[in-house]
Amino acid sequence: MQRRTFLGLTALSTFSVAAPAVVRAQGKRFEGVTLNLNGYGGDYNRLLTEYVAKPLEARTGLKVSYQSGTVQSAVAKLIASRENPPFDLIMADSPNIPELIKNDIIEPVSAAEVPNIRKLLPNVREFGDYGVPFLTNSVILTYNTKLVKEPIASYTDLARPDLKDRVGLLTPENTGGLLSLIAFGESNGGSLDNMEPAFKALAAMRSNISTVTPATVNLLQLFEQEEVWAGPFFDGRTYSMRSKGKPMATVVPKEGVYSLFNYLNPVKGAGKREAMLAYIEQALSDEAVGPLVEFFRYGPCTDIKLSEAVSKDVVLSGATRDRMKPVDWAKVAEKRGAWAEDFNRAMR
Amino acid sequence: MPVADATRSPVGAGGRAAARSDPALLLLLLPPLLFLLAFLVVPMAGLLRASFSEGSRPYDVAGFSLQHYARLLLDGYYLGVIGETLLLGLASAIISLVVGFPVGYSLARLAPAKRRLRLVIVILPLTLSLVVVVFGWLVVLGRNGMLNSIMMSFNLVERPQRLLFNRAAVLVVLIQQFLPFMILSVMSVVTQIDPALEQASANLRANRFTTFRRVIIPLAMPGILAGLTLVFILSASAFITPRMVGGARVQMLGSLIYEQVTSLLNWPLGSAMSFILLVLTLLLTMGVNMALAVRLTSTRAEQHAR
Repeated sequence: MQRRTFLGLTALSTFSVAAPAVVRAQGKRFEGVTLNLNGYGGDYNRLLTEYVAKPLEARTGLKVSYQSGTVQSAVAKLIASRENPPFDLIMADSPNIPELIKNDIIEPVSAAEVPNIRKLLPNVREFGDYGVPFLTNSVILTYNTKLVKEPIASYTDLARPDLKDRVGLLTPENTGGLLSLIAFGESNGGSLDNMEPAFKALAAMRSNISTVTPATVNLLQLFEQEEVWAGPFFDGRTYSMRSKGKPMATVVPKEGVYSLFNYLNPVKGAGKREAMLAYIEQALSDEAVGPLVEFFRYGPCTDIKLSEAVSKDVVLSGATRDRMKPVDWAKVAEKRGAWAEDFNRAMR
Repeated sequence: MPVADATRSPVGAGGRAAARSDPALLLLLLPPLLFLLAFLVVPMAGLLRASFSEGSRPYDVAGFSLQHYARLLLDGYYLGVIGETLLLGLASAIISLVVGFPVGYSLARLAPAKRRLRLVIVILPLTLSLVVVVFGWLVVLGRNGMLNSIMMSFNLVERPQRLLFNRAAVLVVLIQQFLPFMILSVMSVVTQIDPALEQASANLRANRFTTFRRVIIPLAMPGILAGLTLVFILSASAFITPRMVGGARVQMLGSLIYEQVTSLLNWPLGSAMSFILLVLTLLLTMGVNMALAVRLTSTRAEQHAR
């Protein structure tokens, strides 16, 4: 083979291999871009990968990388490294958003930029243009129906003598524990400005409290191995135990339902704004929200239509959203440290 | 001047002089020193600065105040937590020594081929994730767990007992986690002790206990002190175990630091807690090491001479 022929054939074969990629790159908007997000881990990451990341990559070429961990540690990482943020988008909950806004870490998002924001239900954007909510997590009461004979209906029932040493609680370090504490306070005549009734009520039922833990999975395990029988817990986690055959009831407390939203927030200084907006648009689509609600039975924040089979297990959806008690998250963020300290003192 | 000092000093002085005069040695030391400066000294200086700041939020590191230290050192609740942390650390270290010394000694006296498999068994728990270990203990110590089942099958208890969420449970898990450090420390030193010394002691009509007390213990003291230090520091700074196994009834400083830094974002208070823990563990470790080293390694003649 002559040198010229060899060079010609090499150039042709290289072009034929590389050409589809070049064509693809021209056709896909975010080819070569990777979006970094924190993640809640487990099934949450699996579903987000399946119904947000994969369809987005197929359509736009955008790759998404989730780094699992607690929301609080993700917030701490962002505060610690503002110049070089480890995440482009942060998934955070209602109690975290005032801190993120105050630290100037997140950017607002408008409906003009993300059309699916119009699908959001009224009043779910608690912080104006900051944060785009996509799911509702509610704290309800749960108990083991096999071991607790008399049904539980309110927070005050957790002080009943038949529950001695069998109540499990989350600490205020956990957002679920924070909501439970607010519920204990308000159900005993207190308010966000005066949580003393909550600590008094907890001190009074101390003999019933088997343990307190900051970790949701820890309390989940304790419910599953019947170490604890009753307590306030997340609605989705309670459903997941029930779907695995554990006799755990979901009770909407007499006092009302305290809830928080899971938000998506673009991080300031991360760049890739267009890619972030595309991610949020996909996360609000029925294609993504549907499977998340179906799996966890967490309430949707969009106007998605749920099947009868799913909606009967969802604590907050449609007309039942009225059960949700409003919470002033800015005030909660301000007082959370002091509450955590008082809680630790009361429980020690 | 004692004999030991007389023999050691010229070597040490010579070594230091060589280090000072040899630029190659200084050059070798430079990378680790720079690494420590960048990743240990500088972040710790930042923490120290934050601990003296006036605010209570991450973005409030400004001004100078002793308020966080005052809050921690004048409040009965925090003093109780500090005391509990140090006591659990000490208890964990001492029990690990009692349990770990015989194991370390017996491993050291085995032939290397026989020691290998046993050593793997000792080290195996260190290869497991701490979170997995803790969740395993929750199952073992649970009311429907293995230990309660055994106690009930032997009619030791009538109904399942709550074995979790107390100091004993935290202590058991801490000892299980950190015992290998004690065993390895003791073993590494005992392997250096010539068995002929024990035989010589027996020839001089010392019984086994006297040989253990007068020969083995003093010679194994570096390993014992290293093991005590490691286990104490690791136990006192533990945060996953007390949070998961102790519940709120067993509160250790490590848990509170974690809570303040990652959840409540009160970095100044978390920094002050960290420095209090650091200083207390260093002081206690130094004090115990010095006291034990002097008491257990000095001979009767030296004691009389004093």
